[in-house]
Amino acid sequence: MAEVNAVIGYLPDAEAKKLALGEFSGPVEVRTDPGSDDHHVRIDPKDIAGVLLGSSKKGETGVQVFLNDKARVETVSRGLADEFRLRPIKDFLLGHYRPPLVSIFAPPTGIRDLVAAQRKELLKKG
Amino acid sequence: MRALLCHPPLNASREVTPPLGLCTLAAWLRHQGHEVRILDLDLEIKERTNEPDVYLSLLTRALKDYSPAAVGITSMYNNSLQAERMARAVKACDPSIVTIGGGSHFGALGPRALRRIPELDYAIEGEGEQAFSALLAALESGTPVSAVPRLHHRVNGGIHANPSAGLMNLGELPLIWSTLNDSIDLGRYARTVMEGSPRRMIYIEAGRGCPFACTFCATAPFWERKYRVKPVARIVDEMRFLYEQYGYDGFMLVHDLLTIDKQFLNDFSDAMMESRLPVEWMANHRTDINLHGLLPKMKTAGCWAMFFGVESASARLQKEMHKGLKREGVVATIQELSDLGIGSTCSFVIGFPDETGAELSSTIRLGAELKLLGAGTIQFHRLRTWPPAPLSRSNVPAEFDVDSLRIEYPFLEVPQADVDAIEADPEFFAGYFAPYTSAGTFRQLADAELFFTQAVAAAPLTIAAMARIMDESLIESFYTMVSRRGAITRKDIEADTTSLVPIWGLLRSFLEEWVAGYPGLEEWQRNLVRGVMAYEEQRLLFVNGAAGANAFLSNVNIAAAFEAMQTDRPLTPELVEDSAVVLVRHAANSYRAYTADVSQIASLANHPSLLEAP
Repeated sequence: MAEVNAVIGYLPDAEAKKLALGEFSGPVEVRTDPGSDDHHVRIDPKDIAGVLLGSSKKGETGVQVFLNDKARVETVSRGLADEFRLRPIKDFLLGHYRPPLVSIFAPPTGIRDLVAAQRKELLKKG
Repeated sequence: MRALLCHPPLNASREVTPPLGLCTLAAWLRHQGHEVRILDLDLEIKERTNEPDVYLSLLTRALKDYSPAAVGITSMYNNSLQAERMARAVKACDPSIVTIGGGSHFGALGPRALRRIPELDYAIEGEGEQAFSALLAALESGTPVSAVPRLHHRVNGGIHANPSAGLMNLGELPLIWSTLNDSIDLGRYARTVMEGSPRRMIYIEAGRGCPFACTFCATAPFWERKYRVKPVARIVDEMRFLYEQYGYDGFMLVHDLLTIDKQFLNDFSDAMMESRLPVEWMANHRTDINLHGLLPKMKTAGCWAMFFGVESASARLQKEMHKGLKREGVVATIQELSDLGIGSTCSFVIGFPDETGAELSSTIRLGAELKLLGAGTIQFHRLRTWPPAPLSRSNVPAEFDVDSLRIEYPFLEVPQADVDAIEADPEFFAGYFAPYTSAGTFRQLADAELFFTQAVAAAPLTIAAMARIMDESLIESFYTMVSRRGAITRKDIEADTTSLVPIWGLLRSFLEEWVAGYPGLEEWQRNLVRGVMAYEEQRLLFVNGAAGANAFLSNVNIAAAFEAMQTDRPLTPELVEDSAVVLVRHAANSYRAYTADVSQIASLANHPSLLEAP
């Protein structure tokens, strides 16, 4: 089955909706953990092939951001870690350390169809 | 016909979830036109004094209030004695009421249940819905019960077993929760969920049946090893109803092995995303089923965790128990889930008849290493041989083991009358008769099960390091330590279960003595284990405290120690070198550990983030 690269994570509800409707400008910063923007993956909108939304919880929506071929993403950390240039210890008892990209089995045409159907539904709901 | 379906008491936890099997049966019987009420004695006794036999008076009162013509009693092995006493109480109250037994125990040992319990009129073997409704219909119309499938009943002083008519199509089941109406008050269950729980959890059925044939498993043969799932839309509708009406947002999708059918998972994930329900779900999975490419979608669709039976690190035992998992596959799967932020629970079985101490040592090591790779919970369970598991029919030498009985009664004293009754009937209560094992005595295995489940939860790096260093002699060394200073007991552990901090106090002194007294350790190895133990203590206190950050010096290169463990590289003396460690709280329940140059520790320690609570 065809495989595409994607970033999965969380966005504030309003940003997620705008992104799904293609109305978002500027770099997209997908949070890797719900409830915290200390770690995120930064994506240039021109590298995005489509976005599918999951459910919303506590003001954040789960997102799958499908990427175009050769898209590049950037991982960003904020706060103390950034200030002191601390190096992460991979202690999974404290938190997950995720690679920024994942592979999803999905044919590109299938993504286009799903994204279009979702857009239609979002516009209908207003 | 009017039927009362009873769930015997046992569960001592504060949160009570609706009895899934009885709710499914009740919805089915209502769908067939019967009148049904559920009496869940787990729920009922929560609101009353904890007298030992209060459930029997509650049952008697329910019989008088509801006047059923039939009473169905489920039995789950750990509450079968109570189920038995309930059948007796029903007949004592009104001999005309028909009593019907089912569930995983009476449903697996129907003839034996009828022989043991004269007050039980019928037992239904295996899947109960169609048999139960056919029985009620036969009783109502006065027709013979000989055509009721799966029914065990008495004929001319003997016990007759009616043949099965096959398994049902789960699509024929009605919607469960929204059709129960006055059969059960779901709001009472929802109110037992504690305020502030990260998830409001409930079990719902996604399907039945696992095609694998693990020798120790009683569930797969119970469902005749045939994989079935409910329609996707039905499951999503049930989740929506429970979320919208009762606020449940964490769903345990009950199925022996849901993930075999990738098309189902794909469709279910699509449906969950489309539903936009703000809920999460978890399911049973196997590490040799490859879901690569599907997992990210499942994550976005709300999959928060998966449960795995890993059972053993030993390739020989994996083959012998017909499980066949490979270590590298287990590690790769847990790593992949961890990369996606999907949690996992890994369960191990210890005490197979010819399991060696070396094999048990390697299993404990694998458990600790999986925890370091991101597994959420590691469980060690002693082998039980419940019918109809193939191993239960193999007549391996076994002996009554009161410790395996006690584990079924967490937080409660096991009444001596129960102990005596169970000990007196090895065939009916086979699971409490543990097989002998080369891995240790019953007592030693009970100690190991308890200690390593707790120790791996609190200090996996310490346990993994000790397991690497002691290698095959880990378990022997543990037994020696226990014989010298005594074991940590279940009572000690259960004294305060609010967090791991009190338990850590017990574990630490045990571990310190163990490390100090183990003769084979070189000095750097002792320092390494002490260093990682100190780090794990800091982490535990930090996570359970209020500080926003914590910086400290370690005598071990903690980042390198984790890396060595996670990449299966050897532990070397170079790991024993000073390093600065910083623990940071990013948000509620979101933490990170960092390392820095030792020279930075002074400026880090004076940083406002480290001085103020968030």
